[in-house]
Amino acid sequence: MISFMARRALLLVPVLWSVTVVVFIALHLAPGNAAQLLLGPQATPGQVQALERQLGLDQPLPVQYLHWLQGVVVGDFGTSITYHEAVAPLVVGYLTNTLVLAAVAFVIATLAGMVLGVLAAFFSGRLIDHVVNVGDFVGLAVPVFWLSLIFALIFGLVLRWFPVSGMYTAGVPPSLPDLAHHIVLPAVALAVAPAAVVAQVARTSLLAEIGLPYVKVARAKGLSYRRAVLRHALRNALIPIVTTLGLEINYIIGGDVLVENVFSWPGVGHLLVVSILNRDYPVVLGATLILAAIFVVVNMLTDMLYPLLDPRVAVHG
Amino acid sequence: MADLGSPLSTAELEAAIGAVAVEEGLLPGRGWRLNPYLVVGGGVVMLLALLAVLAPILPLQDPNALNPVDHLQPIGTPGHPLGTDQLGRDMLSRLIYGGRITLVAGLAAALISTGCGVVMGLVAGYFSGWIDIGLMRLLDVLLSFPFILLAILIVAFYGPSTLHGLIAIAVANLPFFARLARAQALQLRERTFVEAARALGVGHLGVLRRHLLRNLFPLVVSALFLNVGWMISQTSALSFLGLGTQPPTPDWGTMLADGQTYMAVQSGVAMLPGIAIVIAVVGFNVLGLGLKAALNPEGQE
Repeated sequence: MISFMARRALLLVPVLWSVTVVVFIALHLAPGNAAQLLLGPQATPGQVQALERQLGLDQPLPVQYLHWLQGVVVGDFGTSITYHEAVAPLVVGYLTNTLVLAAVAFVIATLAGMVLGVLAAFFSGRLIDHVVNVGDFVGLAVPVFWLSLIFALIFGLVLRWFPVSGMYTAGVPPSLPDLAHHIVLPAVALAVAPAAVVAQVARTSLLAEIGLPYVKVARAKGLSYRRAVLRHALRNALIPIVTTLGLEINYIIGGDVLVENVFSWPGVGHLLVVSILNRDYPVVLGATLILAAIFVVVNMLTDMLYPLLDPRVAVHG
Repeated sequence: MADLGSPLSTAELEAAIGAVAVEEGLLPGRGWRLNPYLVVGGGVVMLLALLAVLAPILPLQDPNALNPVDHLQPIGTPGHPLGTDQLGRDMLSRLIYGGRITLVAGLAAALISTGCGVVMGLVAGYFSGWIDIGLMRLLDVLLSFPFILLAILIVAFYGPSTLHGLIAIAVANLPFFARLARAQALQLRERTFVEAARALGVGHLGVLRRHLLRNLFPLVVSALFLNVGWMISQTSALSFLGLGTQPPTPDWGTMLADGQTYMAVQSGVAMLPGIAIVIAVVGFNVLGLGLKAALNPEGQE
């Protein structure tokens, strides 16, 4: 088991390395030269030349790449053009806010998806099953940015139940209840699509288990349908649901960029879009690399979780 | 079948192989079966397509005509059945013209990613060996990026525009189609009809085109339509962030970005483009499900 995990962890190295290659190539395939891009359109030719020499842009591409990679490995992503700060601490500051939002959305999506999926399977063919199925279909079809707008409009502007912008009320010292009040709308909007995925998988997986002979045996022994499903089938149905956790993260990272921009949540997604519009390339590169790294690591962790839960899965790695 | 005494021509043999393939349920030999999904989804998509195509000859106002006096009029205003936006532009006209951009961008992104993805997947799965390893490693890297980040990265460096936005979305979604096609190709290349075709002297290209691609066709078509909705949603998302279509060109995503600013005054500007996106996404999704059922009657994947 430990060697399986170690091998999985080692696989991270080439994947993360290729992520840096993609980001580097994206920067260098871009029209115009990198120094001009990094300095912005206002830079004088003298400044551009100076930065070119400083960044070694007159060197061959592989040399440039190694140089840049050296910086990335020790956490040096350069300096932000708009904020005049080192990129790494800047991104990490915003990242904390994103992780808070993503974690809350993840918990909501997992709980709501499980409950709905189990209910749909338990009452298979009845009204609640159809409602959950239609809900899944719609939940996956409605774009998360429009859902966010609708939430902001209805629960923020019309009903005035929740604030629609930011993480804390301005001018008041940050407090947990204030944060909880602000996080409801963005977190629920972010949770809808992954919840639909979890509900679908939970329903299918539980229905498959209910059809197996051991559930029939449990029923034949005199167990009630509810006990047979909840005590026996549900445990085994949980395993496929765990594999959707990685998929959930995918939806949450993708949706996060959009939700943060609707609710002005001070996270990496917001920072990323603002930086693109400001042509702040060092921040764009840094934020992309850090988000991609998180994504890769989380996917690896869910991969590792799978054989831990299901002994039938071979761990040859 | 031809008299066994005389040698069969290549064409006859190929026809026989094709007949076997149909019998095995590999080709859509029974024709299309209508199903409710196909009718409903097809109807919605057809309606959207008609509106988009006929926009210039419909009695609509200029979608970019400014009329600051009548800005942010509610739904049902005389002369503006769906109201006006913050610059007094007619919402109905902007929705229909915006649909042209949004639908074409979504369809183009889906075609590009399906086309390139299927070709890559077929080639990788059919030849296997180092071509397979190389292509799949490349796709693994693309997959290790959250797709919206990849799209944002592409747009960030090439500048925001409708074209760059749709290419970004297409590239980001390419790995899914490639994986789908590769898995199929890996199975199909072991089938006897592929071996027979090779034995008859059909070249690799011919086998790929005539045998693998044709067998994949039902799967590819339903995957394509199942993904148009997703692509519409994604290209609109980029436009919404200001990274796709640029104002003043109407596009459902950019209209929603405007709508966000003015929805407190007039909720229609934030509701209508979103409803349009949902109708299009649901329409294409339902059509995709219908095609999947119609082209694949046994329900085999």
